[in-house]
Amino acid sequence: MSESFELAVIENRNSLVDLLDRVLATGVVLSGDVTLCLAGVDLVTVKLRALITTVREGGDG
Amino acid sequence: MTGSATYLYAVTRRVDGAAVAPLRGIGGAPLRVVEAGELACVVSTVGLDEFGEEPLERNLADLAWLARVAREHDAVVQALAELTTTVPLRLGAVYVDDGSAAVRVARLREAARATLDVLDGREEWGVKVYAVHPTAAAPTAPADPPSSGLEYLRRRRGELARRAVDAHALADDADAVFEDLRTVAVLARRHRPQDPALSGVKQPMLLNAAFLVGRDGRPEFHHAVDLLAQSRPDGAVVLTGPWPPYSFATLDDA
Amino acid sequence: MAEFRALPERIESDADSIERDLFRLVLTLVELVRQLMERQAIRRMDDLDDERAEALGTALMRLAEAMDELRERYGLRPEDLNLDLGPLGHLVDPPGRR
Repeated sequence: MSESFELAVIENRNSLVDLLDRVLATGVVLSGDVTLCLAGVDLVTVKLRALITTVREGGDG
Repeated sequence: MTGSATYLYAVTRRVDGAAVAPLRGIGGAPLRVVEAGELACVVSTVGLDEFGEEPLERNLADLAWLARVAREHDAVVQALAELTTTVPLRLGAVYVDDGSAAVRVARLREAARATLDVLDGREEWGVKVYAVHPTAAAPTAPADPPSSGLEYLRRRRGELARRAVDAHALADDADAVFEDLRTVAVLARRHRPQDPALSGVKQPMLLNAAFLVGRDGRPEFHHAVDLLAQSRPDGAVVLTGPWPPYSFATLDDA
Repeated sequence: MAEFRALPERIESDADSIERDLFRLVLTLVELVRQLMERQAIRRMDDLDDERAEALGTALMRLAEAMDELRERYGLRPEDLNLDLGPLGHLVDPPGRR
């Protein structure tokens, strides 16, 4: 039986993100952490999850 | 950090060491078959400078390293899957030595056997569905600025509420698609929607799912995906595969 | 929900772009706080008397305008301030929604 897949787009299996979804237990995201680097030196890293927690606890929920 | 360790790629039924001889693993290292009863662990040697606990944690946050190692890992798993039914492990299953890996797999032999039976003659296909057109054109913001602070808050509340409703509708849609395709698959599993910053696709991803399909069932499954794709705008449905059955290998190692 | 593998976002700067990149980082954080405040205010608006709600709404409206202005000054689009906050969703929704 001929298999025609024109309508659904078949992507090349090389898509890295698709692979990472599978070989990493929980997939991968860019986190809310931001690092600012200059001349190859990491200068400032902000961990945003900590900030969110702090702000949330500050309110009355 | 010096020293080496054993990296486990997959578990299969007993396989001849000669079969893996032409293959190469991480860092171009040769593969070995370590027997665990009637099961086989396919392994290679890796350096602790890369795969020790701390270096590994650091490396896993480095996309360039991840890309290279994930591909090397996948190349081994793919090649094995062509030889025999394969239970792939996820990236990073590292053991002190071959013996430790074998002991671990031997302990999981019941689960491994069961998984092998489930995977026989089957393959994984991925289906990604995007919202190509946002649901219900966003109501055009009123041309005039809010007349008061209260008015501003009311409008913002309305916008957030609309967004929540839209989000629910999209989620229901995704559920429906998943259930539809599940009926023509053996097993189905959802993954987290992909981060647009990584995938490069701006449109929201509604569904990121994996389906275990028998090789005989491939035409039927593809037909179902075709029908799905036809009912949606171009490019909204993306089929990937066949994959080694990563999403359905329950033999997981920390 | 299981912890997900997170890659920190890295903003590589050189001497020329450092000011803009630092600004982008700062604005992103301010936008995060602004949105949290706004959502909290909306959650509480019905419990406040009109005068308080009005004052709160006006303040937030001005804050939003100030943010837009600052952003434009450095040629940043709303999406440039985006962050994935994991289970909390994205800081900025996809283009077309605000």
